[in-house]
Amino acid sequence: MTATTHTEIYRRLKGELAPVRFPALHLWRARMQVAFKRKLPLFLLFVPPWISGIVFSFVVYSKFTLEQGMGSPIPGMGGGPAGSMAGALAGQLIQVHDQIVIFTYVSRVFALLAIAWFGAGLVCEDQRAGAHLLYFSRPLSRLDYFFGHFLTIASFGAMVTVGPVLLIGLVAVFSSPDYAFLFEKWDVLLGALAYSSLNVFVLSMIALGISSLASRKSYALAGVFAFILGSDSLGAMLAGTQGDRDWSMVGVLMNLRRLADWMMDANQSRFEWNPWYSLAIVLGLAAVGGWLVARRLRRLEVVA
Amino acid sequence: MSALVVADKLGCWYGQVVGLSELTLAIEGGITGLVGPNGAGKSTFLKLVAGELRPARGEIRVLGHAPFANREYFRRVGFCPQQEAIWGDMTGLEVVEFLMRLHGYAPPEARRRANAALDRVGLGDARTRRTAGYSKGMRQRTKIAQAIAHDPELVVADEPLNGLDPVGRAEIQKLFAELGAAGMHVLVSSHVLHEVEALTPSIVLFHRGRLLAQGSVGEIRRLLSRHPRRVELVARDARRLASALMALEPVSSVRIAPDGRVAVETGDVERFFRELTALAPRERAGIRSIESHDANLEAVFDYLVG
Repeated sequence: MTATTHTEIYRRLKGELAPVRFPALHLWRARMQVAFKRKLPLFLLFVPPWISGIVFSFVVYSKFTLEQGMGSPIPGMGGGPAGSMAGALAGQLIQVHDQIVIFTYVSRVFALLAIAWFGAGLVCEDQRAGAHLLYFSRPLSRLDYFFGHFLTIASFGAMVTVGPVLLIGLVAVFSSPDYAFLFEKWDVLLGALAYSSLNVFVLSMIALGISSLASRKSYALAGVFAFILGSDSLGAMLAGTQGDRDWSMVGVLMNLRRLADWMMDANQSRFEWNPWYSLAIVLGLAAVGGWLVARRLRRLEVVA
Repeated sequence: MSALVVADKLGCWYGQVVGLSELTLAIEGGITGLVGPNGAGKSTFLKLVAGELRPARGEIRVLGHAPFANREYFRRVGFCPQQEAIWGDMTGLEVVEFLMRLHGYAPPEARRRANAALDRVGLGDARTRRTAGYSKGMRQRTKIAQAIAHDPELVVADEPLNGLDPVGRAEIQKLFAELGAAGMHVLVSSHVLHEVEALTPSIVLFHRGRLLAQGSVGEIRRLLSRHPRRVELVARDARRLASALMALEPVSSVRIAPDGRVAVETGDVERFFRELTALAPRERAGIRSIESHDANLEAVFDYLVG
């Protein structure tokens, strides 16, 4: 070969590069930046859950402030003012508890919409454009890539579920007398947050898994809705034809609802099957989603 | 000093399709062009060099490193892939800045480098526009900018001149030449052979996943002495010239084309030109032009792949 001149002035890298800490966060930040540029989807997907959250918060607030002393006395505490007040508070706490449970039912749909929209294209569009070629020629591992995308999709899910739940919970805590909701119903708050996180985790993993199977965002989007809503429709149909509600366990959202009832100790539940089955099903689906992404990432190494 | 790229029995498959097979070569520094038809294995080789692919067989070392998933190595190499690769919703500046963040630069330094690289590829004015609105050539420049912004030792560019207009091509060719002159190593692929020839005399020819030839165009041409080289002459008296040329020892055949051109095939072109120089004034055939079309890379490639 020629080019002896160049080999004589062979140059070592002289610049100082800091170790890349949490490269997944850079990917997450960039993807969020991209998503926030499109205002219409943000408006359509974020405004309804936050309006619902605000409405529920107002209802919760009104329960504590506008209905003070309007409850029935608690048995055993006598019919005096103390009994009435205690009875009213107990009733309000139960009602607020129910409000939070109802909101989490509603938030499953918001989470599904946001996660499907913002997550369906992540892996497949990278693959289609070849963006992974730019990532993987840099100090970004496959695991970082996965976490970067997972954080992105989970952030959007959390914004429409965990965020409003936190808002309602905070309103409940600060508007209840002496923070009674925090001390008496802390398990509901914890359950609501844990459930919302689980909901986001499961739907995000499913969406990422389907995204890694699809060749473009529109297909992945259709796939996410088809899988989740299709499984619920199938479950409802089987439950109806067999006359056994346990068949609803086939549906993803139905399992999430069963878990919501269980984790937040709902006063009434439509479903009676063992919630551990539901937990096993949704975590199994999340694992399958993760496996599909891992499989795709391995295949990215051999894409010409 | 050891070679820039050393491959030993390197193999890579895409399922049943062979990407590269038993490739053994060493590439020294400077600018090196990889040429070959589509499917020859150029992109596969460059992805192996860039650390994107894991070799299925054999070994490759670049700058002394095994490239695949090697974070330390990735700091020293810049890769410009053939694919679109950049998100349309980001501006050119955001794309390059984000990718610099992945290299570990703090935000101000990442931005400074992104700006400098975009200026260098001629995208200074368009840096704040979304890349979705860029032309193909501008997106190509953006990819080149992200490949050079972190000041790597080696730039790996897969078909970097695709989609560029003639002015853009000339500018990017000039940029690569400057990078090479500054001590940066450049591996650049193209199936448009004259593009590579204009960039560098050092070439590696691939065909069907195998190394076909390596060296300068001239060196490769000399290796092919068994393939006659064609020279075309235009003369006032073509018949007189043709009969005189027939007597020359290095000439293997002479043919007069219908348009009057005299086509000569020779196995030793240098000796042929020396003897032609002596023959021309003696025969007074009125030679008007001499062209040796197949001295270019295209002809070499045609010879090699038969």
